[in-house]
Order: sequence, then C-alpha cells, then structure tokens
Amino acid sequence: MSPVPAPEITDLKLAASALLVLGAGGISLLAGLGLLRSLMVGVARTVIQLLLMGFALGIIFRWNRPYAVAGIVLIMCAVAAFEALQRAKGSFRPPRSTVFWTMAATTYTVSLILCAVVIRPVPLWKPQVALPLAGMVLGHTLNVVSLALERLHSEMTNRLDQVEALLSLGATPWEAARGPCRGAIRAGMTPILNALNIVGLVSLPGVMTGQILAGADPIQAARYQIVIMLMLALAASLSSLLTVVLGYRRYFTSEDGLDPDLRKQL
Amino acid sequence: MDETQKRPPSPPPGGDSPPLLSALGLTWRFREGGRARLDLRLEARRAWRVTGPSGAGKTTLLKVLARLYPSLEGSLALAGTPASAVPPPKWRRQVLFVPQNPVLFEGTGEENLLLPWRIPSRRKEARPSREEIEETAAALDLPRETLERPAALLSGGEGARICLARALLSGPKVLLLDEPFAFLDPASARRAAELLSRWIAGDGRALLLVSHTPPPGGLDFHGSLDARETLVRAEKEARP
Repeated sequence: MSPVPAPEITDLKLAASALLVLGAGGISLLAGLGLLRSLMVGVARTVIQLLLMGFALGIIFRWNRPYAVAGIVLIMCAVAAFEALQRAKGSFRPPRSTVFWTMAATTYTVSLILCAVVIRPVPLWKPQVALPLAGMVLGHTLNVVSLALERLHSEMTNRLDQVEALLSLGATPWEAARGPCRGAIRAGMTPILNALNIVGLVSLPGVMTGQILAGADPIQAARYQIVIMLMLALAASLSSLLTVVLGYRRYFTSEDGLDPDLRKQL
Repeated sequence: MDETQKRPPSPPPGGDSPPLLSALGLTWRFREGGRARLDLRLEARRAWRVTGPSGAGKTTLLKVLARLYPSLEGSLALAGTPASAVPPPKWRRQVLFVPQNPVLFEGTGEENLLLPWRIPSRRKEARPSREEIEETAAALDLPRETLERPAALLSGGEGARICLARALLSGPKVLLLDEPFAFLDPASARRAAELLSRWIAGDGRALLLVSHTPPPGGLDFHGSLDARETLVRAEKEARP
C-alpha cells in the first residue's frame, strides 16, 4: 500500500484554525472563566514553539550529523529539567543539575536501546527517528519526574513520624525512607500503567494518529505505537527510580537525622 | 581509626570508669536564633528525669542525645566512646529515643514489636526469645489478643505500651523516653514504671525520661535536669 498522506496545511488553513480558538475564547468570556489571557498566551506559545521546532528540525534533518542530534536532545533535557522543577515547589526539591542528569540518562538510554535494538534506522542516529523518539521519552519523563518529586515530598511529610521512628530504631536514611520512596516511584509509574490499559480503547495515541494521517498502514502504525508504549514504560520506571534515589537524601541531615525544617513547615 | 585520639576530654577526677552517657558543652540550635547547651554525666543504673514547661525543649534535648537532631559543637560519648566514632544508626540502637506519640506501622501488634528486626541492616541481630517477649508483654499488660490485633485497631494506651516494649526488647543501653506515661491510665503507668525500674537494674543501662507531670510511683529517680537551664542564649542576644 503506497502512503496517501493527509492534505497539506497551508497558511490559509492554519489561519482558519484560529476560528477554533475564537470558540474557546468565546466560551471563556461568556462563562466568566477569566481564562482568556492564559488562553491567548498558550496559543501564542504553541504557534511559536511548534513552528520554531519544525524549522529547527528541518535544519537538523538537512544537516544530518550525529552530534547535532545528540546536542539538540541535550538542550531539550535542560528545558525539561527546568519545567519539572517549576512544577515541584519546596525547599527539598533536588538541584536542577540532578534533574537534568536524570532526564538525560533516561532519554539517551531509552532512545538508544530503541534505535539500536528495535527500530534500527540507517544511520542509527537518523534524526527523523531519533528526535521524535527522544521528544516523546522526554515529554513523559518530565511528567514522571514531577509526579515522583511531588509524591516523595508529600509522603515524607505525612509519614514523618514513621520515618523518624525507624531512624530511632537504627535504620539508615534509605531504610527509613523506603516507604515514601516506594510510594513516589509508584506515583511516577501510574500514568503509563493507566495508559497501557486503556490505550486504543478511548483514544488513538499520538504516534498512531500521526502515522495514519501521514498515510501509513494502520497495522504498522499500531506496531509503532506498541513499541512506543513499552519504551515509555521503561522511561517511567528508570526516571522515577533515579529521581527518588537521587532525591531522598535531601530530607536528611549529614548525621542521618531527619531535616528539622521538614517538621517546621508542617 | 586511633581510639586514643578520639577520646573526649577526660571526665572529672573521682570516677575511674567513664559515665555511660556523657555530654560536654553539647550545643544545639533551639528555635529562631536561640541556643541550648548541655553538660551531662549519666551513670549506669541511673534514671534521670528531664523537667520543664511545654516548649522548653525537652523533646529536642532527647533527640540531640539520640543524634536525631543536629548538634553544633561539644562532645557526646557512650561509655567513653565518642559519638563521632560511631555511625548514627548504630548509635541510635544503643541510645534509643521513644517519642511521646506512639508510632505504629501496618501489621499486627506483634509485628510492631518485632519491627527492629525487619530493618534490613538489623535482620542478622539476635531476636529476643519467646520468653523475653512474653515477659515484657505481660509486664506491660499486653495480652495475646492485643498483640494479634491489627495496629490500626489498637488504642492510644496499647500503642504506647507496644512502643515501650519494642524499645526495651531491642536492647538499648540508654533509653530516652518522651512522656512515656502520657497515654497510660494510672494502673498501667505504675506497672510500666516498675518494669523500667527493673530494667535499669541490669548491667550498663540508664534512663532519661521526660515528664512534665510527676511520674507515677514505682521508679526512683537519681537526678533531674531542667530543660530551661540548657537554654544559654536568648533570642535577641543571638542576633548579630
């Protein structure tokens, strides 16, 4: 079956899609939601960011160099780390560099395995394959990291007495924080576990939709989506584990006691 | 590591052996800009009471001795071994702090009693024998039915007695008890006090007990410490 792609989106068609936003804006105005401003900013960011990304991707596809691919992924990791910390508030959150390395380790590991073992494009770092994959891993990882950080904090706060009781009985910080750490890893895994169960029933996920729009065989599109879902499961477990292992120590003093500030903020 | 170099300043003349627990100029931060300082010589087979009104820092004092709360300077030693030579988790097994509010975990009462041996780094330690467990449980009015019930269904008093039994069974040298009788009715408070009194008669054990109300009879105190007297620097003086 030769691909029959969906019709091209011209400037005029893009402008026509603004009508959709007018609808959303109208509802916000009528219902007095006060969301008009956020909506406008969001729309502007979407248009600019995506067009810029499309432009940048075009350059990199033409340039076609492995270090350019690796470099842009690194930049994406930095932005994702910034965004994840933006969502997780509080003085116990890890430094930006830790989050950055968590993102980078997860993204490179998972995309590399996928490219080298599963999809095997030629060349291996083919930007048309590597960049969308890395982007998807990173998008999911960002979510996982902020969920895991948030849960780690709430579990440490809620189970503070239990953690301290374990420390009193001679547990190391890692042993004392095991419960909260487990809860945080579980929280990071929840979205992908839910997605694995409902995917295809309620919505068609991004990759599959994209491939179908681009005219691909639906069965091939489904196979791609399966690979992606499994990849995201690995990314979620890897990144939530790293987040927790690298992050739990900040709740303890250098003398293996609970940081007194944690009790103070209650 | 060279033992002799790490010795704390020698104890005042008179005693040949070092006290069981000693603190010399031990200082910690207390509240905004405040400081507390403690000199303590707690001999073996002694029970001391820590007094002072609410908010005087009694709990913090106990936590500093268990190294759960950071100290700033000064020295702390157990039977002559400086705290700096002992990793904090190991120290806390010997200098055991028991908080005022009973802390129980998922599982039955008995599983809570045996919690210390469920901590991975303590799994290899010898567990108390069946008789030891039963003896301690009996002395604290913890019948079989109570121990078999899920911890979530236990009353405050039962929880407090389980926490006390857990602490005693785990074999500490110094017990730091924060209001251990607060959740107990007079009769069981008295029995708990008597059990503690028998416990410190053993070799190399001592007890430091916080209580802002007079404790029940059955336990004789050999000394007392007013938490207010440890506060050395008032808040305004501490401002640079």
